[in-house]
Amino acid sequence: MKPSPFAYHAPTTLAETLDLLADLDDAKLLAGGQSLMPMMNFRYVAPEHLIDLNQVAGLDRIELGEKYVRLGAMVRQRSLLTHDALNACCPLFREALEWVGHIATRNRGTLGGSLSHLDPAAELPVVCMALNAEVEIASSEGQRTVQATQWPVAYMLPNIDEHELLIGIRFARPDTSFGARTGMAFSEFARRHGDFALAAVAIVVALDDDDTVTHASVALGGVDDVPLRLSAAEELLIGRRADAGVVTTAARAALELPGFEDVHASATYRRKVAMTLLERTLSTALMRARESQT
Amino acid sequence: MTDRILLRITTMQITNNFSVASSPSTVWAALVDIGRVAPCFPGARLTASDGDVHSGEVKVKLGPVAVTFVGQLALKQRDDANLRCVLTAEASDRKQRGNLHADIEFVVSASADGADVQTTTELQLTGPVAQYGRAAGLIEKMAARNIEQFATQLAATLREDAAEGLA
Repeated sequence: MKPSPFAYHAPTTLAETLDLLADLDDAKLLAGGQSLMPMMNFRYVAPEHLIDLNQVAGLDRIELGEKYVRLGAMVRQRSLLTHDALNACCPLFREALEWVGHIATRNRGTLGGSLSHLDPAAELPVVCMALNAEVEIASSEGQRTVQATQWPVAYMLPNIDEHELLIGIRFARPDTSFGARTGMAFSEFARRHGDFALAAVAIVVALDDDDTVTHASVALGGVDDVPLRLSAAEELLIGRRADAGVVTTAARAALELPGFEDVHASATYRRKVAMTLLERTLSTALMRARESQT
Repeated sequence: MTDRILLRITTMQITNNFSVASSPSTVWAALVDIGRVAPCFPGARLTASDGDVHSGEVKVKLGPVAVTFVGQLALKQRDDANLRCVLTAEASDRKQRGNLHADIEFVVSASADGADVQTTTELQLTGPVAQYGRAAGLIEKMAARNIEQFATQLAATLREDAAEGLA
């Protein structure tokens, strides 16, 4: 089908975009369009106005500071995947993005688009949650930030008003903020490559010299109707020596999740997949943390 | 095609209870005033009133899908003796993505510190919106969230009334 009629706007500056967002009712933002365009063509989504962000200057930067990393909302998934300096300090992006869609969709798909669409199985929201990222939001009234962990409100509903714009994310460089022995890992399980994940896991762990866990972020996608942090597993890890027993116990926390059901898998199956995936990914992250000592 | 769309039906029942520090009869009088009750639903507004039948619209966000239901709201049953009434809403999406039918039953009873209000909503959605979302039970969750917000807001409005009454 073709989309129902809409007015097209293509602002070139952030100020212009925010003014449009403030003034227009029933407007949708177009980033890479890999989810929005099909939904509009199905006439599931039928906005009066479409604001195209592709010509807005300054939203597609990757900034690597000494302590912080800032990623603009319009950074393409391909840029995140191929950026060597970014992946040297935070390899989660490359590892996660290889699971995101396909080469053609990654060329268009953006970080902000993926965060805003907030599919429960999407990889990038899970990565942002594991990194304790802050989501930067702008409107004609000013700016505010939301913790990535507070970003999902309900199924595909992010913590943002219809007159606001996600402009980017910021997070502390994991390689410098948690010490030298930091390890990260991402993995997911889907029946076919490019499908929505039945479960996706992103881990950031840090160890001290005695192999005691000093930091643990465990983020899960695909298992529930929103991506989430598995705090039960994190609590089991922090302060313990990282051995196989701890890993197995922490992974079992995934079995306590409600889980969601669809034609692809039952809630019980999803929980089991999440547990197994968590155990493996956590082991990988811990191994990397041990190996990364300087 | 029509048959296929009509087959997409989601029915659910959602219960919310709250209490207000005010006499049951005061709460009852506020409840049967549709002009006060309707705007408590998130995104709802009344556009016209013709006797007992009120026209209005409600904007609901089902994830990325923003739906505007336009239709009528009326007090279908009213039992002043037992403080029980049923509010019925019938509406359809402005862009033909589905229809909504809701029966909201309110029962007011006396409690130790005022009145208890019991709300039971029977909601039926038909058309493409009824099938929205990849997983089972998501539309129910989203509807339950909206109705919970409605009950919270209604309770707040009624409590404000009660506070003003005392002043």
